[in-house]
Amino acid sequence: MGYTFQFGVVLDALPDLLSGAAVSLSLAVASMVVGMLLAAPLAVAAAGRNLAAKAPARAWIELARNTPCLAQIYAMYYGLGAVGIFMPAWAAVFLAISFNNAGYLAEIFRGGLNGINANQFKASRSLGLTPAMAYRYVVFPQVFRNTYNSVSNQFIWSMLNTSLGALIGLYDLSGVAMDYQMRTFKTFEFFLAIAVAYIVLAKLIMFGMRFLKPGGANA
Amino acid sequence: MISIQNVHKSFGQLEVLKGIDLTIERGEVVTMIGPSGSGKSTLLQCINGLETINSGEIHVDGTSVFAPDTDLNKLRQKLGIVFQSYNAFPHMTVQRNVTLALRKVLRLPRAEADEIARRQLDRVGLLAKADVYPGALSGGQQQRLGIARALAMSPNYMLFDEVTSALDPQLVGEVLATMRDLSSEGMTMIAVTHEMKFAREVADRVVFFDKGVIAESGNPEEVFLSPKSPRLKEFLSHSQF
Amino acid sequence: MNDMFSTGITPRDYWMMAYGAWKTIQMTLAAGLLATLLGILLGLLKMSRFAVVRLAVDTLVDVLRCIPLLVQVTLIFSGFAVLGAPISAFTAGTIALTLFAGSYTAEVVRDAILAVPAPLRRAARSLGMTARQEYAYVVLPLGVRQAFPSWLGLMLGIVKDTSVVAVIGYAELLKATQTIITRTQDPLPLLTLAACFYFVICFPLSMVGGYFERSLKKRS
Repeated sequence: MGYTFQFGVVLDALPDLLSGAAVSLSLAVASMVVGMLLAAPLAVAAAGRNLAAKAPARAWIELARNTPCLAQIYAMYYGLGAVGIFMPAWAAVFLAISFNNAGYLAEIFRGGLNGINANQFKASRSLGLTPAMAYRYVVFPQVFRNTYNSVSNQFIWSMLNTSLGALIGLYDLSGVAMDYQMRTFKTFEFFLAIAVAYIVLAKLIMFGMRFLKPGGANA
Repeated sequence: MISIQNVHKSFGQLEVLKGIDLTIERGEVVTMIGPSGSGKSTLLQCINGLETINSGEIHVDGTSVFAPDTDLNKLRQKLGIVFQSYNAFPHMTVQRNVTLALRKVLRLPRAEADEIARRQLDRVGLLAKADVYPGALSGGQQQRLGIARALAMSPNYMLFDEVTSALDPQLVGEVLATMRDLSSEGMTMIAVTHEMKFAREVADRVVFFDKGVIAESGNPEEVFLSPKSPRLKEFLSHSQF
Repeated sequence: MNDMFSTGITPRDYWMMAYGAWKTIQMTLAAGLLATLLGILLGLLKMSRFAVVRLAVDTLVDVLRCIPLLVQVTLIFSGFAVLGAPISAFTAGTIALTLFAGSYTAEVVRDAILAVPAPLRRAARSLGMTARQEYAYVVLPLGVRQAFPSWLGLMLGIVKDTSVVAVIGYAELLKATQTIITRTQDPLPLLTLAACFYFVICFPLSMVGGYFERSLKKRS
């Protein structure tokens, strides 16, 4: 008993916390963009019948979804280091979470692909579009609209996952809090502060995704 | 000219086309009739390579559809197809539905693509709907959009795959009217249809499909007024025309 | 000890990882059970007649979903310490995982109940069943079928999420692995082995789940 909460130290750390928040958010955005770009071909390969493409795609999806995200970060940071590829913490986190996002999003998109009438593809091809064009302009825009809520959730997830980077020294929100906790021993205060900051970031993402929601009627 | 020679096609065990021979000249209007599952629609989709065949040959203007070195995407620009299920792209406005292939396949500048789209939409009576999404259109309007979308690529041939079968009866007329206009403009057309009256009126030649073969063909008067095969007689006795 | 070999992976290290895996299983079982109970409770409260209750539960669930597990674990661990009642890393981790997974389970439970067709429920009541009987004989059996796949996914999620509890020093599988990596500097075989352990833990769960799901389907 007799503990006195001291949030003054948190205020002193505000500049670092803000830059930490920027790191968290930008990593989440970047890994989400890359994740989506990778997920589209992964989903097509995983849903298809070409075994040479299907097997590696399934392996990626299963590995990404069935191992801890932290293990994926370790694999990028320590694992690639063992084969001579060294990278800063942010790069390892970016690669790992992109890998993770791609796996989860591919599974989401695969479900979405099932919901698109095969005739949409046929109609596109009948107009002379190549398969790549048909996916790019006709199929995936619809998949994206139909899976928009799940994609938004994955965005939040990827932002929350960036916090794991703190365990390899990333100076994101959590990393800043850990750093200051070691210097000031005010663990609770700092983590309460960043908990609020994460909620704000999550709300920001939700708001942004609502704002970006594409128009047009769904099938 | 489209020439179809001894085409066979199976889905697994089921042989749906059992040796089809058919030639369609430029400017000709051919209607295909016959019971469901007789292979008419499948043949139509084989002509532009949307379905593969097991044996035989299909040539469009001298190009073999299934030769390995044939650029199908290029060939398909000559062949417009309209489907039974309208297949409008639901996430694009009506106009964008039409301009998509113009922009991405023919790589036309936006202004030119828009110009063509508006002309074709006007032709099928949909210009007023250019900026709405297909979800807001009736079935008949969506089907006319399908026609405009195919026409925009200036095809040499138009293939119609039971385009009125999914429509409410009161919407059938507007689509058939559009098709009649096309035929009177001299468009080469192959139409699979269950509308016997239409099949008889617009066609230069009527082809009766039964169980994977062409059981009978000829000019509309022959086929509808003096059918020879018992199967065609029976089929026509169930239809009104 | 020979310097050459002291940096290599020793049999002791495998035991350490196996023990870590056991600690992962322990926490998964504890948090899985508690999260399921909490999820059912919160899921029912989400459908409460009282708007205040619904709002409170929704807010709690929303907040829990917007904070990284790492932060929640640390907050609970340090929070109890600050209050003068320190708890073990196991307890803190279990509480955090229970809250985290429980908030997701609540959604699954609610969706499952809503998925039971209303006419069926009315039919139950028209047969003279009480509200409680309606839940026991109609809503529950049908709801379980609906919820099971999502629920299993959440439980498998807990297996992976235990790795986060390493942040407060709980030596579960991944923490053990990382400790050995730091010493041996040989991450590839160790991380691969850790992945195998996770697979060995998760796979039987998926199998049992798949079997259960099929047998439920057969009966319906």
